[in-house]
Amino acid sequence: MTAGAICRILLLPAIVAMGVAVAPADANAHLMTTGLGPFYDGAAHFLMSPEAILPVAALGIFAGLQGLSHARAAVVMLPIGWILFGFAGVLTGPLDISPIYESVPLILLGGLAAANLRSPTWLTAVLAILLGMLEGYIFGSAASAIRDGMVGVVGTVSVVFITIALVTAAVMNATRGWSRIAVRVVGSWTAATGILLLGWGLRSNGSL
Amino acid sequence: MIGRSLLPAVLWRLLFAAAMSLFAFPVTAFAHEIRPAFLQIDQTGPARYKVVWRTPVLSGMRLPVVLRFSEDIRDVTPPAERALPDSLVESRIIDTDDGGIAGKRADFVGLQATITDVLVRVHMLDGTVTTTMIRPSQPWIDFATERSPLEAARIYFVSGFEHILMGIDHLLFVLGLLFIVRSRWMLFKTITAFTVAHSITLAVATLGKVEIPALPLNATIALSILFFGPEIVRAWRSQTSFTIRHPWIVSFAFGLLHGFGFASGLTALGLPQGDIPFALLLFNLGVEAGQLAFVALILLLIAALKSIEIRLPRGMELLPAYVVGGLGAYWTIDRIVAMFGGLA
Repeated sequence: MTAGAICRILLLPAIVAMGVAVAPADANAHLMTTGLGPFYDGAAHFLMSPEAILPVAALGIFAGLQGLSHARAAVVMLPIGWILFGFAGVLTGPLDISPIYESVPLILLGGLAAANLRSPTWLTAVLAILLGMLEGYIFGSAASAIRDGMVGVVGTVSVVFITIALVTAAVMNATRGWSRIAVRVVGSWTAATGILLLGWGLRSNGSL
Repeated sequence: MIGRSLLPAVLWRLLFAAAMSLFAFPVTAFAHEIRPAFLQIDQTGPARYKVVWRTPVLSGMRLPVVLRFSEDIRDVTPPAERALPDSLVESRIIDTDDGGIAGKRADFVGLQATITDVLVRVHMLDGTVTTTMIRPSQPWIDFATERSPLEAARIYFVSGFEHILMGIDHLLFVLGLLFIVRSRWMLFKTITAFTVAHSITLAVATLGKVEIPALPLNATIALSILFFGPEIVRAWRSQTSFTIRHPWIVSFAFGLLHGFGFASGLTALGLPQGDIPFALLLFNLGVEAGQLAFVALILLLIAALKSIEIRLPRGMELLPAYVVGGLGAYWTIDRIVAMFGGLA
């Protein structure tokens, strides 16, 4: 898929995002004049959610280690899946999701980043879009509790896009041997964190 | 102008370090409950306060922490509880016998047995806002009687930092500047001109020398953003204009307007007369820090996208110009309508 084709796919979400971003909303004194209070709520929600930051960063590491085509696939596909399923989550309402499900991307993506296995580009694209769909739906359903949840989703996706782009580019440009090992270690920590979250989820669930 | 040339190898190493530190934060944060509890206290009268106490609920389990005020604080209304999908919210009105909450204590009973933090935000009638993070190792808060100079400095600095980062109109203006400047030297001159200009008007407005009504000011600030839409289009088409040749002059002129906007953020804090020069300095430093952080983030993002070779396809290159211009136009119309009392 060419960069042009990928960007054309982004056109619709971008237009939708612009449309909802200008919708008026109430917030604090400053935001009341801009109508972007929920935008910041959505951005802050992601920044205060390590269980979402870690898999996004692990995907960025995995894609960055694999090379340019993987990096592009991750940076483009993740926000697309996130925004589409985020909007779906806003429409379907609050969701009570077990930490068991949230641990899966941590373990999978952390493990892949640590292993640094050669893989086809389509696999990275699929993983990115699946992660975007899962986390987007979770964040969208949480945003449905606030007014103008759609704008909140746009705020979240903006920060997700910045995060995945910066992490992926930083890892891609980390050419020294030790730095590539260091990011793989981070991948293993992410997987370990996922295993801890899984154990906690099973315990809360009464399965352990 | 922004590209890989702006980001030499040493900066890529810094970006790498920053990305690594991104992991250090969540790994530390993961040692805690994902969401902290939250206590908001708003002063509504000389000795009266509205209290909102929010505790997270995870997998159906409530955080086993109880809020308890010291004995000289009494409930005017009993705690009213409301269940949200992810938390329980308890609201009440409290009153103090001897004229204020300063010097009193609130305990978070049970917090020491958890791994959760509590974020406490106290908003006083004079506009001052204090935010404190309570840890399980010290599960109580003593409300401050008087702010130390260091604490006051922190409040003014953080307020300035937050003011620009929460002010999407100011940020869009800076973003517009970034799209039309064509060299690092011009970027430096343009940002410096904006800083000098808004510092001047921030000072004169805070000292009460000049006063501009909020509604026309906000409309003009919106107009300054709209102004950049066509200029970005011209810059992309390699055309020229006064703004493209001398962005620092335009930046200075509009910076004067934005400074009046920043002043509203500072005066909202409720300034004691003796604190004004000190507050002005720290608030302005906070604004500059926030502005530089935003510029750095945008430069890093553009460099990252160039590195990954992601660019907008033909026909969509002007999307940023339309975003900046479109939002500027929307706010301009919205604020002008507000000036004349709305459409109704």
